[in-house]
Amino acid sequence: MESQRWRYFCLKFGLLAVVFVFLAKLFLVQIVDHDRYVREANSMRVKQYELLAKRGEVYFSDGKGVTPAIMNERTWTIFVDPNFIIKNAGTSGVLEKEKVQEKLIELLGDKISVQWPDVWGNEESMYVEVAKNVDYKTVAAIKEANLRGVGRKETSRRVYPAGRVGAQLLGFINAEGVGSGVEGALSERLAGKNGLLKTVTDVNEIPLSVGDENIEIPAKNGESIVLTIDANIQRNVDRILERAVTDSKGGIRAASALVMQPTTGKIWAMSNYPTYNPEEYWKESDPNVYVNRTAETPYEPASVCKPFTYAAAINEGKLNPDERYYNAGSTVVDDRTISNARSGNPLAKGSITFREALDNSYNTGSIEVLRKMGDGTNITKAARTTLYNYLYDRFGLGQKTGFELNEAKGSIISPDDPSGEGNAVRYANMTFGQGMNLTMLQVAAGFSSLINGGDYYQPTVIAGNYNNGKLEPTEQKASLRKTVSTGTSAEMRKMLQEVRSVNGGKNDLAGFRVGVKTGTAETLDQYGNYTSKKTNASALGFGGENNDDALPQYVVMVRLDGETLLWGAQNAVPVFTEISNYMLQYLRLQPK
Amino acid sequence: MRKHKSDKTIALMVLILMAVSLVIVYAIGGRVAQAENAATGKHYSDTYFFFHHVVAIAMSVAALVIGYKVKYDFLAKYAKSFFWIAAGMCLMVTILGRMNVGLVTCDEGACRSFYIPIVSIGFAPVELLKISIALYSSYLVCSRRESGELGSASFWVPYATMFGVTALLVGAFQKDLGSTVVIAMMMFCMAWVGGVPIKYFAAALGVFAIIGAFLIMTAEHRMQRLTGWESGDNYHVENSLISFGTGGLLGVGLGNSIQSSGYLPESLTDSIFSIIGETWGFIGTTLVIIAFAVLLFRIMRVSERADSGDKSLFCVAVFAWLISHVIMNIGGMLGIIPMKGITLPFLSYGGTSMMFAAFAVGMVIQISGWTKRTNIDENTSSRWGQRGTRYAGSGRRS
Repeated sequence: MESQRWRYFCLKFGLLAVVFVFLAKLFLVQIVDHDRYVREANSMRVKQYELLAKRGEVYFSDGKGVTPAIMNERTWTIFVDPNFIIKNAGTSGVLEKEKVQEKLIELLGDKISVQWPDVWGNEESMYVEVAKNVDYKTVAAIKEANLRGVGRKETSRRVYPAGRVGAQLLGFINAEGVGSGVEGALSERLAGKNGLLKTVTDVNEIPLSVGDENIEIPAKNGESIVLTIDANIQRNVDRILERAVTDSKGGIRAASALVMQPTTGKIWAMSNYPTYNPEEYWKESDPNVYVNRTAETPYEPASVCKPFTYAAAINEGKLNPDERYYNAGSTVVDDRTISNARSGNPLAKGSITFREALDNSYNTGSIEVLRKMGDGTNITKAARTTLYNYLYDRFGLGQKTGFELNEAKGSIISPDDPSGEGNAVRYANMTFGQGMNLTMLQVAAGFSSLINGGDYYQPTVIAGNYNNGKLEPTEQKASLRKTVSTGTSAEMRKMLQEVRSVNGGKNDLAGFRVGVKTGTAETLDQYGNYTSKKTNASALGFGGENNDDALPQYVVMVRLDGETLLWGAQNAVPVFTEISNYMLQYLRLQPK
Repeated sequence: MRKHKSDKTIALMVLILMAVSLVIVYAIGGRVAQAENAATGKHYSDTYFFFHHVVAIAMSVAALVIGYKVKYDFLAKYAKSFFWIAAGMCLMVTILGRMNVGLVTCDEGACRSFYIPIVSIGFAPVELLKISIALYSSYLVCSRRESGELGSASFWVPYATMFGVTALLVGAFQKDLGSTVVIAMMMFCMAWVGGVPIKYFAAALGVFAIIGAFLIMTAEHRMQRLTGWESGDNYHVENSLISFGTGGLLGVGLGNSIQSSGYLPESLTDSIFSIIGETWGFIGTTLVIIAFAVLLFRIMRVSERADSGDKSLFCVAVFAWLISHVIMNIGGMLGIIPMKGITLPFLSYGGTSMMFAAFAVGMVIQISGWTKRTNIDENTSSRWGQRGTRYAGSGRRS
């Protein structure tokens, strides 16, 4: 019996040993390594999901309400799981990879964006995207085919219901978030803010309500923006420019036009040709077509700037437009002789009024005006300072307008410029719009103030936000500054209408007031010399009702870039006329 | 020999463990059902597991009472028959499984239990085999000891045959290494306490080594379990340890178990101890282990004081049965030994295993009501269980 008791003791000791080992191990796992296991568990069980914010949509105005410009469309990305297909081929409905491939080619066609050997090349791979931006119908067909190992993922893409209308203005955004136009410049407002969902999930990644690791920050959807751009005007101007370029048979390389409301700064159209399809921007080989040249490409607008010079002098009380001066066809400034652009005209030489000088766009006239702002005979520092004050500070030429999209600053040289470049010759050139680089946007905005009674409005493309089917207008900004007096403005309108009368005025619809100024500029060639091989022709004008109380209702600026010698009057004015006549009708102005 | 009060502590420990089991199954049953449905496309309701478990526990309590009431001697009389019936059923499970005629549950080629679909009751004959071996072996060892034949063939031949049949039917045919080890442990412990000379154990060990090596090499999954911790096991152990580890000292609290949502395989059955560790932390696991330790010590105490040799050895068999389940289950879950896929007595969800364990413990409680007093004298070195007698415990010495 002693032997039996010893044998019992062995078993009991064994039991105690087991209890001790288990408790020791449990102590290590549960107490000592607790934190490590919690970390390990969280890394396995806590999933983070990005809650995607919906990108805001973009709308055009269209006179009555809004019209979609950029929308979101649900699309699908189709992917395959090569690992699954290769491993399970032949079992429970899984097709051989060749069959899957065949079926997908049949259903997706040219949407397939991969090379098949790359898909099947890595047997370990569990996710290979086969096609992107697949539409609902195709996805439904793939779903119908019930291909195991083929998956789909909903995504969204930007669609442009109006096609190419306003392509440069609307722009696009690429996968890296870099973009152009409205999509690029207003990206932050459109994008919204992605939310975050952090949650403990079960093994099938279904969120559980237990645990203290759960966080949810909802996504903030992007703003939907309504542009001041009028879909009808934009579409028409696009069409007019396209026709002008194609009809020129290579004479006109590119055309741009800007239409705005002079009494508010609202832009109705910003048009550029050649253009592109923003939905498939990547297919374009020449990136220049993406550029909204009305705001992003400064140029020397030439004589369309003369009204600024005249207005400055009139506003300063230095010029009576009915005054006469002797037009010698050219004039000497310092060491340079500056000629009129037009020769062979009956009024090429002789005593003429300043009105006539503007009508015929004589450079001698605008230089004379500048002299009058000084001591009357010389282009003094005071004259230059005054002109600079008007051009730069008041009309905003050579500085950013501050509108919402990308724009260039351009350049204008101050008389105080340390380089000494702001000399008399420079300023003589500036009186007729050369020697400074300006954007159409700057010129049109400054010009608007010139003819609207002297109120400078910051140009804008944003009309408001679009929420729940309702336009919430942005507050109309007040005029930033007074550029010229009402009187000066009225005088300028009168003078520009006179210019129009000898510059295509006969083609205007009857019973309206239309004013215009043309401009022709040679451009610098690759050696830095002006060449008449490549020229810019511009036309800048306004239109409105034939009524002394009514201010002009629109401003139109046209710019043509030529491969040959173009003239503002011959080439740009017809384009202006077409747009102007369209505007008169579109705005339902009453003839008188 | 006299009849007195039975050991209530044993019953209490069993009931405590069963209650813990019910609470855990109630808490995680719904989550397990959802994970199971998502993974397999089945349609378990949230309360399916709990209600089935209530039934299983009720039946186990009934089994415990029956084990307590049915006379030991009556059962012992038919021990040999029970063994052959159980062996026959084990064989039948295998044959039916091979013939693929239904009525049998098979898992990865291993067919271990009958299944009656209409009442959805499963029955694993190996459990009956365990209890019949416990009954018959205790008789065999005891009678051969009395006749002094423990070293002779009249003991070894039937004893080895019994194990051989088990190893063949359970180990080889059913590929159930765990149960084979349990039965080996039971027979070893009975022979050990029964007084088989130590030299024979050395011989038996040699035979086991040969048979074991053969068994392991013939079934691939056993080889993997022993050598390589197959990937599924690795995942299982990792998630089991995460369960224990995240539980910490006090646990995440009832109903907050995350591991049971599909991360930890077999959360209700083999892995239930890990879920206890997650839910109630180190405190919970320690209390459960203490409950098992008390239960097992009490069973040994009953064995030492039983009024006959075969009853005493039967208790040893139950001790070995339960402790080998505990060691293999908890040891596996803690990553100390390879996983065997074996239940934890009175805690794991599932019918047959708990019912037969409860029945066996019921018999132990019955045995505890009849003790011999002759072996307690002035020279007794152990004073276990002598409270209330004239031999005062050390605490009373003043």
